[in-house]
Parts: sequence; C-alpha cells; structure tokens
Amino acid sequence: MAARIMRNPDVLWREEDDARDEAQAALEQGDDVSEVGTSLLFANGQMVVLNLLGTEIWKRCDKKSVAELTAELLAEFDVEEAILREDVSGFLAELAEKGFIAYE
Amino acid sequence: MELRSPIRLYWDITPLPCPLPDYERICSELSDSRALTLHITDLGTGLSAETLDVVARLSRSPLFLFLTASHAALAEALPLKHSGVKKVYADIRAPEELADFGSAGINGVSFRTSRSNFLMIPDIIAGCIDNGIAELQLPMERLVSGDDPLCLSVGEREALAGKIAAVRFAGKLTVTANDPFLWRVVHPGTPFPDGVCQAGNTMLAIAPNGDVYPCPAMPAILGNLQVTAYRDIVASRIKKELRAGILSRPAVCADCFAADDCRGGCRGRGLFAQGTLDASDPGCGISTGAPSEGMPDTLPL
Repeated sequence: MAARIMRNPDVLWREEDDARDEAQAALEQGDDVSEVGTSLLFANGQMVVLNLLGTEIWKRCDKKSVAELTAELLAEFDVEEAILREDVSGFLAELAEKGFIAYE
Repeated sequence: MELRSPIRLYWDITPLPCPLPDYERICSELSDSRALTLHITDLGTGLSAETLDVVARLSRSPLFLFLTASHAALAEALPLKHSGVKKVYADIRAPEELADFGSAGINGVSFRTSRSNFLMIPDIIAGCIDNGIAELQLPMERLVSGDDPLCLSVGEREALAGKIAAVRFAGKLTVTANDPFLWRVVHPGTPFPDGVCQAGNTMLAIAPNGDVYPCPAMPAILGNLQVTAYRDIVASRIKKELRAGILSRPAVCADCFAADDCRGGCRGRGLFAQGTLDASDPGCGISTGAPSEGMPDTLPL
C-alpha cells in the first residue's frame, strides 16, 4: 500500500485570500505566478511561504498518497504530467526535510 | 511576503497597568484577527487574575496559545495546558534553575538575554539537555519596556558561538533565537528564518496597557487597543508607512558587504538607538561597512 502523506499537526498555516485571488487572476492571463506567495506555514518560529501550486499541494497533504495527490492536481492545473510529478516530488521532499509533513 | 494581517502576536500582560485595559474586548478582537499564535507573558510571582481571565476567554479561539510564566508561577501555569494553552515555558534567569524542571511538564524554557547574562547561554543550553528540556527560547528584547539593547561585538559573538558549538545541541534541543545576530551565533550557517525584519508584518506586540507595537523590540506605537480597534491598527497608514521604511535598507548599510545577508538586522534596535528607521542596527558590530582586510570567506557572525 502506498505511503500516505500526513501534515505535522504542530504546523499552523493560513491562506492569504487576496494574494490567492490575485495569483489566480494572473495565472488565467498566462502570467508566471511561481514567485507569488499565497499562503504561509508556521512552526517552531520558522515561516514558509507557499505559492499557488504549493498551497494546493499542502491542502491535499491529508492522508493521500503522492499518486492520488498528483492526480487531483492534474485535473485542476493545465500542466504536463511529468513536470507536475517532478514539482510535487521536490516540494514534498522539502516539506519532509523541514518536518512539516511525514509519511505513514 | 507582506501580509495583510500578522500571524503571530505577543502580549505582555504584566506589569499590570492602571487602569486595566478592557480584556474582554481585546480578546474578542484577537480571536477574530486571523493570527495563528498568541504568546502571552506574565512574569509575576503568581499568575495574575488578568492572565487567567485572558486565557479563559481565548481558550476556545483559533489562536495557538503560548504562555511564559515565572518559575514561581509554574504550578498555576501548567494546569492551563488542559484549558487552552498549548505550550508553557518557564522564564529562567540562571542555569541552576534548570534542575527543577526535569519532570515539571513544561514545554521549554525562556531565557531573556542581555549584556549582563549572554555568557550564560552555553551553560543554559547544556543544562537544558541534561535536564531533558526540549526547547529553549531566547525571546525578543523588550526595548519597548526598558530593556537595554543587546549589542555584542563580532569578537564576542565568535567566542560565544564557539562555546555553544562545543555543547553539540543539534538533535537534542530546539533553540529559537529571535535576534538576527544571536541566531547566527546559535545556528551558524543557517539563514535567519525571518529574512528581513518582520516587525509589523508577521508580528505585532501588545504592551500591558494595550499599546500596540510592531515588535517587542521596536519602540514605535501603532495605536492603543483601548481607543482603536485591532483591525484598524492593522490596516492603519502608520503601520503601512512603517513597513515601507523597514523594507528600505538603512542608507548607512547600502555598501556593506554583509547587507545582503543581515538585511538591516534588528530595525527596532536601530530605531531605539537613533530614533530613525534609517539607522543601522547597533547590534551589528560592523560599523565601517566593509571588513578592514578585504572580503572574508565567510560572513562574520
């Protein structure tokens, strides 16, 4: 059975509604929004800012497998599967290294 | 990232002011603030009725509550972990106190660092490890309430860093240092997590009388919760102007070889020392803007 992604319950987070709306509008116009923060995670005095895709990945770190998470994102974002898989994999590795997620 | 409203709030309840602020209204506003954390500090010998009242009012709020209490008040503070407070820290003044906390149930200790006690830090770290304490907080200076700014020379920081490194605390103790230069002493090689000064952006500080500051170390009053609603202070022009000032690096730092790393340091300390946001941080230890003998391989601590 595939490992399930679990958020560390000590990580607090907040989505910035205005920033998210602006990023979504810019994305629809074809702009690059990869550097636009739309949410932030906070734990042990450490803050991590996530962009639109990072936020959507984080929201789905709720006992899903990586494959399930990626499939959901593919349905929502207009992106090549191989690129998305690479982005998701790299992002999850970063979160795991910081202790923000774990696998069970 | 510049936020519409802060995520972390610091509220020093004591020393109790006269008259007391309207705790009921302030708690209601903070509960609705969308902040993530509230750090409550009460350093009285017993927890004040006002602190107990604030905790009770916020126990069901979305805020993650931290409480720092004096050693003497721990017996009253620890039971609050069953009624809303997520983490309790003991305020300590010397390493000898750590022996009392082995099985006390605290989440960590808080050590207010100053010019007179900074040499104790290695012993505090070692004592935390010896006594099974998981977290050490080196909290922000309270320049808004009379602390002297912590200004160490580069040499003092290097000597302190060497002594701390010798303790080898990695993996045994989480040390949080809110001072950007103290962070480098404790965690050399790891970038300061906050990056640029976060006063008024991710954080706000509330003084016992309800005055709101961008940070406990930045003596610039943004408003008072007795007369102005929290959301109005957060959205105020004065706060926006202050953030714009903080995002502009002090002119004196413009050509400094270390500026990209320190990003202006603690801007509250500069304001405290010279009365302007355009002042350099006196805790920086580099006053000439460049090292005397060419570029170093590594930045000074």
